[in-house]
Amino acid sequence: MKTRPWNAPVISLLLLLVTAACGSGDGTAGYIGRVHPPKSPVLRVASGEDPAGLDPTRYHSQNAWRVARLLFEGLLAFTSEGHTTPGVASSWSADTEARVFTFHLRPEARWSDGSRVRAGDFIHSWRRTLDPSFASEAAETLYTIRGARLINEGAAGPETLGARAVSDTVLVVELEHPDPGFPARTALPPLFPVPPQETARDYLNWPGGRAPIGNGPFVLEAWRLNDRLVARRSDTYWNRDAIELERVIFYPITDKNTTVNLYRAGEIDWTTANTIPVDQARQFLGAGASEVHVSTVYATYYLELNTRREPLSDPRVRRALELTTSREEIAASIFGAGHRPSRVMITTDLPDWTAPEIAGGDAETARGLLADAGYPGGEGIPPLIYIYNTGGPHGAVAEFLQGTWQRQLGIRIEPTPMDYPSMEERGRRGDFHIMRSIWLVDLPAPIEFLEVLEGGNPNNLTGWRDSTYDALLEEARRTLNRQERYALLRRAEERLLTDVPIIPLLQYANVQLIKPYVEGLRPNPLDVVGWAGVRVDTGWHPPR
Amino acid sequence: MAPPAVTDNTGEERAPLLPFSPLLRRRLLTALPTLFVIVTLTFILTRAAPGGPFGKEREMPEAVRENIEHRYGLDRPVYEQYLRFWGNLLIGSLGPSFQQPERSAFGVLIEGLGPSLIVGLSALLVALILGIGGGTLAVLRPASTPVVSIAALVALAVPVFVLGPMLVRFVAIGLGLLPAALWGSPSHVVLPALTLGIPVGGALARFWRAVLAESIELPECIAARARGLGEWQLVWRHAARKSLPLLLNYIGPMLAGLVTGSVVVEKIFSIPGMGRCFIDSALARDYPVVIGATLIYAFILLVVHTLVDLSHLRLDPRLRKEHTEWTEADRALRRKRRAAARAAKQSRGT
Repeated sequence: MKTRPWNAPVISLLLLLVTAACGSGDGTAGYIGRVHPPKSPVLRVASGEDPAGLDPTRYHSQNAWRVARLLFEGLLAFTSEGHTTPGVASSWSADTEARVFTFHLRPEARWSDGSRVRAGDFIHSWRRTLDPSFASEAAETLYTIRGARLINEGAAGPETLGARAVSDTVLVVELEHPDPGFPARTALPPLFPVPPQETARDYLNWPGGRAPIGNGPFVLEAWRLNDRLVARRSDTYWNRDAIELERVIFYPITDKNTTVNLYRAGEIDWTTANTIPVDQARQFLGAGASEVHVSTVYATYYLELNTRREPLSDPRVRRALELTTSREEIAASIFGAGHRPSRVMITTDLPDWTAPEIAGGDAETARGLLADAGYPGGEGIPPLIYIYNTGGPHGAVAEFLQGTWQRQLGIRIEPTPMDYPSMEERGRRGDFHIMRSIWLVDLPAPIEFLEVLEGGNPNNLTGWRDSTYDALLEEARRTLNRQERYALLRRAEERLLTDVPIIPLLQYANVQLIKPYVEGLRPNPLDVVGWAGVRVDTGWHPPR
Repeated sequence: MAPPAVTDNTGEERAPLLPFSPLLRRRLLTALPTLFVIVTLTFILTRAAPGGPFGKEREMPEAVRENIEHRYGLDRPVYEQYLRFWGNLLIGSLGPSFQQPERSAFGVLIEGLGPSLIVGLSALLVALILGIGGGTLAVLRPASTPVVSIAALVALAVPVFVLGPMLVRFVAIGLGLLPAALWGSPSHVVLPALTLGIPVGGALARFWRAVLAESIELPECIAARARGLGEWQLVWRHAARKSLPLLLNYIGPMLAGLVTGSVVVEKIFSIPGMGRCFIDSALARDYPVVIGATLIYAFILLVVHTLVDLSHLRLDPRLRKEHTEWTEADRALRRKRRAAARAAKQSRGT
């Protein structure tokens, strides 16, 4: 038979494709995909979504804060381990009540235009953040400062803010109530300074805008929406010698599979929190690759129960649901990437924190409670509307609980998926029985977890209001002694979990991939990065 | 002064198509109300969608929410928001984006339009090469018809969200020949263009094969073949030329679809295009960006369809004749109206 001349190349190409498909040669042995360090010390980061903007004081989101921490710095900063460290302030002290704080600023702290960072810059920035017409979504972060809430509500002038600059290097801050943890709060971007030389209220304007003047370890080089944000090392940062990276590039990749593809192809060095699919994360964890980093997060996944609606207005029905919630199975089969089942609201990873003991019970106890409430075998209970937003594992959790509660209690659930704004609106209107929720705290303090269910807190959509609970939190705020404060908070949490307006399910975890040639990045529960000490070993070779 | 008449290569005198073509004038007259209706409908639908633009995992205190809503005028009655929106639009602004408050809504979209156009036009090129090439091959070499048909069917049947990841797996990760995603160099365009262009190319190949096969049976083609014209010549000089208007009809909507429908590809390859902005802003209730994107998409569709109609006038002598007559009649009518107006003015003067 005569052979066609084009057969050979076509067959070769097909073989090549098959080889590629089989995965041979698609990476460095022992690692996930290709591992080739970049030629210069540049860190390429898959950062999830673009930040809403570059103004550090205007937004309240992890993405915006991650960028803010590149370009700006507060009185305090975070280390790579998530601990606080001196930032613009080299030292600080508090009065005996922990109500008035004095910060001593470094004289060498500079803006990226070379001018000095002064104590007055912080006051300028905080007043601007609280200005109602500026409409910062993060203004609440400053409410702990005396007078801040009233200013933000338009009921008082900016000069009433409890902060004054004694000199260029001494800043005194007075709080609404004692808070020994206030210095750590100054490491949050809404309390960062913005340069007073920028006189316009909205000094940033993209595209075509100029780079903001910052005081952080990096300065902005370029930002193209949905494409990349490039920052280069600042020449004026007070601790510039500790910054080893020349550039950081954030790629806003919203498709999680694309993030993994880019990591495999060696085009990304670090995938930040929540940027890879849960099933892939599980796979990498199972394979035990050294590039996989799991860290718990100070966040709790829980269900909000609408206590204003029948039958969930009866705590016995709520308790019955809680007792039959198999968190272990949800954690293992739906999440399984470091997430831990939890019956408590406050994460047990907080230093020195011990969770309260909550009475348990089995399905029989739950059925008994239901019968006591007048619903034997779930009879008389209408289908409960369970709302959640599409995308992510929320649908799987709803379906799992639908099966469990139907089987064990005879209670029917109507899983109702919708997009996030619709869920948020229905939640606020109270048009649900059960709603999925996640609470991520800004600072490692137990009260941060409990405030969310305080009466009047906008995040409390359960309709549950307990004066004793509120009083315990208020007392804890005024208690300086940590042991006593924690005891009060433990009592508050016990009360919350006994009355069951919420069903905690999981303590959250993050799985991140970091190439072996990147050093100094340590995923931590606050999901923060201390840029000093982060480096890319450009001469890295896989060990023989 | 009326533009001079021009003569085309057939020696036929015809009116110039631009810039005074009544077709264009009519298109413009219908385009404006169309755009008005589209914008109004989009405004109503976005406001009717449940939820608002500032829903966050962490709820804001009432005062903070009120401050934000006041800043964007969302605390005003809807009719006032609508009037203010038109006021802004008439001076060429949509206001700031709600999700990107440091950018204007048009700025967000214009930034995304470039990559979307590049991907859409590159995909069109891929589709044309595959479609025209495949269809023509099937007609020229009947033995290859089953192969072309099956290949076209497979290309058509594989969804973009399967084809894209497959290409990434094989070509980018497996062979390391091209980037797996992202944007910035010509090499970043190849895989998205192939992903978007291959299914369209499959459909085009089937269409082009059918059209050519029909044209080749026309009497003039049979006569040309009888004169001894080779198959290649026959297809290109006669059948293809005959089929060109049909192809244009097909390509017009196809091009608009490629430019406006690259959302999935933009997500898979993380391209900073307009489709991605559109979907993200719709999900986040970023009203100004949603309305702006709808407006731009509608504009693109209107332009593409007008271009297709103009091309038809160039290609089809029958239409051209009709159009010329129409143009002449239109001019005559205008002359008559002007003369009547002059006469009326004079009679008023006397």
